[in-house]
Amino acid sequence: MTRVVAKDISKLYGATKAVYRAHLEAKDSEFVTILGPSGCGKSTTLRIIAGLIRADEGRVYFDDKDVTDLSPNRRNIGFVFQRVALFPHMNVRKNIAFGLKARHCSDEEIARKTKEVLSIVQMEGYEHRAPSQLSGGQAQRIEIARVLATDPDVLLFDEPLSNIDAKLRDELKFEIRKIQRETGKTMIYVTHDQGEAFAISDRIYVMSQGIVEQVGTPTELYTDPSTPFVASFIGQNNFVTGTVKTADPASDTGTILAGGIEIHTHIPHEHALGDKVTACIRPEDIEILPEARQGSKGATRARIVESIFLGNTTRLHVDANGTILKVDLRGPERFSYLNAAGKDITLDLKKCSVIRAE
Amino acid sequence: MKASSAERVKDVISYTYVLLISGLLLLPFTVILMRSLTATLPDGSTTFSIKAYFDIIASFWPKVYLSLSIAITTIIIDTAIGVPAAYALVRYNFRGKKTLFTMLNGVWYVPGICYALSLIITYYFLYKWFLGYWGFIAAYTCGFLMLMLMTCIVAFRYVDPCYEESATCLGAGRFATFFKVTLPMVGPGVSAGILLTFVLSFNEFITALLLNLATRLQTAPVRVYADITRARVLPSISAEAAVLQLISLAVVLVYLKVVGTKYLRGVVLI
Repeated sequence: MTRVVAKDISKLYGATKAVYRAHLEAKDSEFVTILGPSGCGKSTTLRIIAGLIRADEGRVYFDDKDVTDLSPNRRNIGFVFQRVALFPHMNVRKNIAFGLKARHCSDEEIARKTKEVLSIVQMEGYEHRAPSQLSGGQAQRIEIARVLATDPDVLLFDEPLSNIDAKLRDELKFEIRKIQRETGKTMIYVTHDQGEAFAISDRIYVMSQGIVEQVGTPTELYTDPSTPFVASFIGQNNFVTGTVKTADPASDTGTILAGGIEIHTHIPHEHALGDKVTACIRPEDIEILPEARQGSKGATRARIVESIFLGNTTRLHVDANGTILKVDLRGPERFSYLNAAGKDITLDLKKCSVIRAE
Repeated sequence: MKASSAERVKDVISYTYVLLISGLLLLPFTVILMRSLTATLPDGSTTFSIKAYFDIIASFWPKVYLSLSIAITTIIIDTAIGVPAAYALVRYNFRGKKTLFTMLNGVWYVPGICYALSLIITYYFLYKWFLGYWGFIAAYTCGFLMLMLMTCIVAFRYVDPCYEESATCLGAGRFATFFKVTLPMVGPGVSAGILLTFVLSFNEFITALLLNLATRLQTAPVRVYADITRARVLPSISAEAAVLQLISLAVVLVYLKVVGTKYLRGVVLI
């Protein structure tokens, strides 16, 4: 159980800032995910924490120990790579024993730990298989067993499921989470898949172009994105840019005038009257008001432009005074608007998050 | 039915072509082998005999041992130099890497005779320190180093660095990582270098001929040449040539059986 801190780390490749002054922290037994698109610096950050890449600036701490200058073999970490890195010339047992031998464990201890970790990943009986005789999912399980055997302080995962088919990926991500809960290890996980990140993480660091955009729990990131990038990267959003027309500092509510629509919503106190802001409205958060509530405060008139049935949702494209919005309908309501193009409706847009406009 | 006949004709042509090519490739060896297994009787007629092989035991086998010794020593030194050098060239980036590589590659474009001549001149400049067995070793080590280097570079490129990173993260130091993970994975590639170095240095002729003039050390191929120029193609000389070919062939077949052809890809001469 170890607390990991990467303090203001930077890594430059020529003029390209792969990672720039990123500060990351994983508490004891916490499952932290670094999420971002390709090339955002998430793997570089992880490799700096592992010691596989040396940062140009910043320090890495495991608990209070500065490990920045330690090579990976002296950090007591476990690293699971994107590509399965089981040694092809060793069978499963020898692969698992490799790290234990490096730690000068006795033969009895190696045998006991091998059995123990194979049981954790549910791969008993595979000791004598060669890596080439394992499927992708089995190999990744053995890879996890191999790093668990060395009892690392921190487990680092660099997109371990990206080369595995969707169904197995779904199973394995929950298994990794289960292993984390059972072992209580601090884990840092890198992925570009937000579904994966949301399913298994305690906290998520969202990165873009080498910088940390936002840190938060999955719920916080989804409901309250703090930057335009996070708002656009996580889930789907309608972005409506306008100005703050009214603001009540006492209740942190107000009105945003955007194009031809007025949005009555929660406005964080840092936005003052006249500020240019963007309202991020999730398609599933837009409510179609029944007739009885059509005169309520914040109700916005709109016309359905297009209706697309997607199975578990129906996606509407609606025109609200010149602003095109996406609306997702779920439950039985989705069948009520299957051929509704041209129909006038009233929307409630108050469930939105407000960020500074770019 | 028509299609089946056409297929049969295609098969016949294909097999004939393959047999023809194989025959052409094997022809020189077959001719030498047949000639070596022939003895001329007093009446002028010929008969099957392995006498030629017994005749060359005393005179030719010492030359074979010398060639084997030179080839094996060359392999040991080239492996010791080539493996770490190839690892460094693949895994590390440094200023002048491409220039160095181009210069090393230049060895391929130097004609053998020029290389041998330059060695002799160099050795004379070095006050004949290298004239002798170690002169051969020095010449062959330099001459075949690039061959070893190339095959090892190909082998190291096959090994994804993630294996080494994984070993390091599991707690292994640099040496343990290299000897327990990297080296076993490049083993077949290194053995390809060993194979090529063996075959080429064991059978090398031009440099050996010129160094023979300076050192009086006669390798097996030079001995065959000397015998041909002296006595034409006697069965005993054919037996000498057949022995050389059989040794090379045996080594190649063992390699192909154990390792296969994968690691011979990308090598300039293959």
